[in-house]
Amino acid sequence: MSNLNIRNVFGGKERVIKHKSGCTICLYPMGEFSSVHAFFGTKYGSVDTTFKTRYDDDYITVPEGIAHYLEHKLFENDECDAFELYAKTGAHANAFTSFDCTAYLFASTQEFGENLRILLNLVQQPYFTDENVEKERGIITQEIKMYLDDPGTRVFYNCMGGIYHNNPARIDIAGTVESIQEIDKELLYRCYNTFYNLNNMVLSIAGNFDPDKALAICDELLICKEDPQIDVLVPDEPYNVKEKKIVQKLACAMPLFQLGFKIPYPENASKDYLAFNIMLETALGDTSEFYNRLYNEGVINDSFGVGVTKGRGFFVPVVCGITHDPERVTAEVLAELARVKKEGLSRESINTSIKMTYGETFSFDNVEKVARNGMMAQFEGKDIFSNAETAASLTYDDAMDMLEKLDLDNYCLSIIEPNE
Amino acid sequence: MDIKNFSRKKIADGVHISCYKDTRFQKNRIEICFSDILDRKYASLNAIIPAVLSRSNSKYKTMQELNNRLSQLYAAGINDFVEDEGDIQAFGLYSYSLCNEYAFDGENVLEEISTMLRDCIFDPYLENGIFPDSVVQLQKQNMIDVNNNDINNKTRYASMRAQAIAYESEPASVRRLGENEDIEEITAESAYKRYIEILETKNVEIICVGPADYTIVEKIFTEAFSKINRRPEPKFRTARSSIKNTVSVITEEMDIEQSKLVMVYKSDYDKEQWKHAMLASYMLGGDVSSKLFTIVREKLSLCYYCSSGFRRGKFAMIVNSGVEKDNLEKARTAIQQQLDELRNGKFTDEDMEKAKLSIATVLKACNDCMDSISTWISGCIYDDDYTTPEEKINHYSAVTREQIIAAADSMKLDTVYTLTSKEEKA
Repeated sequence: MSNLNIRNVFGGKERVIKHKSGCTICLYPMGEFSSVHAFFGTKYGSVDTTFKTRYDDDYITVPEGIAHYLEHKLFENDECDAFELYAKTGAHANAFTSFDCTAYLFASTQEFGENLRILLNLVQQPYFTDENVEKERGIITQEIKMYLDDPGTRVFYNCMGGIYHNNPARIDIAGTVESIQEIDKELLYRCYNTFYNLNNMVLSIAGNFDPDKALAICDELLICKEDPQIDVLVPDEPYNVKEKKIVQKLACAMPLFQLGFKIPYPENASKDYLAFNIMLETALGDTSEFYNRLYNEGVINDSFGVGVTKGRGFFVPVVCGITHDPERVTAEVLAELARVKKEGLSRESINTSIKMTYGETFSFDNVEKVARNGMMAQFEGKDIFSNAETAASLTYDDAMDMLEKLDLDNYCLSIIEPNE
Repeated sequence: MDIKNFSRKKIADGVHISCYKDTRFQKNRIEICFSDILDRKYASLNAIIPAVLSRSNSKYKTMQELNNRLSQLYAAGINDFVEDEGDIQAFGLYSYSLCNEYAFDGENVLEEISTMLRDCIFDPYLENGIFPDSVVQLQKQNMIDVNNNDINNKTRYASMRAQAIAYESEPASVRRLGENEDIEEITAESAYKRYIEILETKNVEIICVGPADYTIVEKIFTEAFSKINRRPEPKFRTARSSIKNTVSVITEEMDIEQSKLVMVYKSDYDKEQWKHAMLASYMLGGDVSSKLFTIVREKLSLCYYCSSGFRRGKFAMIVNSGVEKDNLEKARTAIQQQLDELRNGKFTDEDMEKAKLSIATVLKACNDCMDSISTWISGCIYDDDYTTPEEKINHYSAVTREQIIAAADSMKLDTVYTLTSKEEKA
């Protein structure tokens, strides 16, 4: 990539600022676009269930699903809900909770300033009452139940549950119908006051907006608080998976499978994430002999895929798909990985996968993705260019090293079978 | 959307290339789309063609060879698609590829991907003069699996079933990939024969979006189509769906936790005034400030999702919801009540303005995404109406309260479809 300067894709107009409030602010002006997307996120997700701050004597463990519950509740204040305010400007608002972050976002094409004010206020002004917390329980219960019927979701969570004994990544992000019964307004405030501290948060804005105006609004509305020094306990995790195989029956036409490998959380997770993807793509992806043999035999189809599920404190290389014969696919995957561990992969095929991964990470012309990726990169202590740069600089040895990290006996196979 | 960036040209009988040059993007998107009326006799045959063509060509004879070259071109993709839009089946290939300037080994990615696309479509890998039987058999099985796997996504499945019932006997009731029995009957010979018919008779739209100069794409496809004996059929249009005399009420069972309720409304409203009906549907359940979200979900806590969407071609409004089994009747009543509120004018001017603003945001933002620009171009071509999103915003803005009431009032319940748990599990 000698002639390439990824860092120039925004013409040097991007800014990353550590604001006096403690918040990290990323600004990506893309004036030639019509819309603006803003993400205001906290480094707080479903895995952060046991924690303390410097004000606490001891750790507290909160019910599973509380980060997601909190996300639902923040849209409401004492006068109205934030959706009503956004509706007056025409902005589209949403939020999401993942294993390790929660983010609130809007997309708009007008009244940027007003929308940013709504966003900053809604996240900084919690309003929880016994009544409004109770009202949300029904909606979240329906959300959980909807995903209980979804084989793609279940095969994923069952696999995570089979891999980890103690890591909270083993539990659904939304928790369970039972666990959310324990959530009340006091617990919500406790979690809010711990994690919704600006020192723990990132505001990322991309698109057609005035950066100076954005910063002026931030100066006005971001509330400085002392850093509570959050200490999240990541439970000790045995080396071996909890269960090697989990099978569930659901309404589906043919079996779904996910094979997840347990490995210790890597020192450089961002780099290993890309290197693992390259190695798995080379060994098992659609350019490999393996893939094409099984595809041509009708054993796998276009749903077959490889990748890595990662977050703070967990890192799981996975192989998944829909197949009539998940046991055979698993046996074939394990045999192929054992073979390439012994015989290696060709330099040419790894170089092809490096180019492919670089092409996939090169995504700076989509306003929403830029805002989102800008935030996510900060949560990992990186910047928005890091992934593409790392991908382009990876070597054959980097990819081969990942094979060494893979313990082929330490996996969980999750299968969803048709129930009739 | 800047119409100055848009060009459209006929390159053969029934074949047009439309280009939207936009230097903001770092990738190029090229789509070659064939269209046909949805007809059970041909739906499966049409659907298998792009699946077969996207796997190889005469230069890259196997899927592995083709995938290898695409990966070397920075994760460029040649993908097949089959879509149903009203009564129409649209199918073909599309590609995404990184702009040449970001290729660190200096490849001419655009020219190569265009050539590969051409070869896939016009110079496929053949055995004994037809598609290889093994490839056809494999794609048949994949199509049957995709059809069967429709049940995995219960929300989508319920909506699909409801629409199949609502549009019974109309082309739109035909499944996108056809029925499994029809797929099973496909042979390598019948697929190849259909492929030739498609090349010769179906209308073709080539749509390019991105920063490049697409002269090379035009040249490549003009030459390719000049070798085909083109005799294109007239263009097909989606017909409005007729309203049943009696509401179809269908309940199906599945082993599930959450029931799905889908209500299909149809209207005999003036088809030219579809924006009135679209706005009425949006106010009912188009976004988070709509009646279905604020009342049925938020106030009554009846469901996690409850929304409505308007199908312009069929002139039908589809309400989708996920509901606890015990609350199905309550949800049905609540949804109907919210529509009644609209038709009785029980909404404020502010409610109307919110919906217009929200639609304006969607329309303005469609300029920012390659997929939505491509969709906008397809819509313009299909409707033969090159109204820009900005002009559409003005049209919505002019819709009056009385027109929304009239459009809502014209909505007649046609189909109620429920997917619910089996009795023993309730």
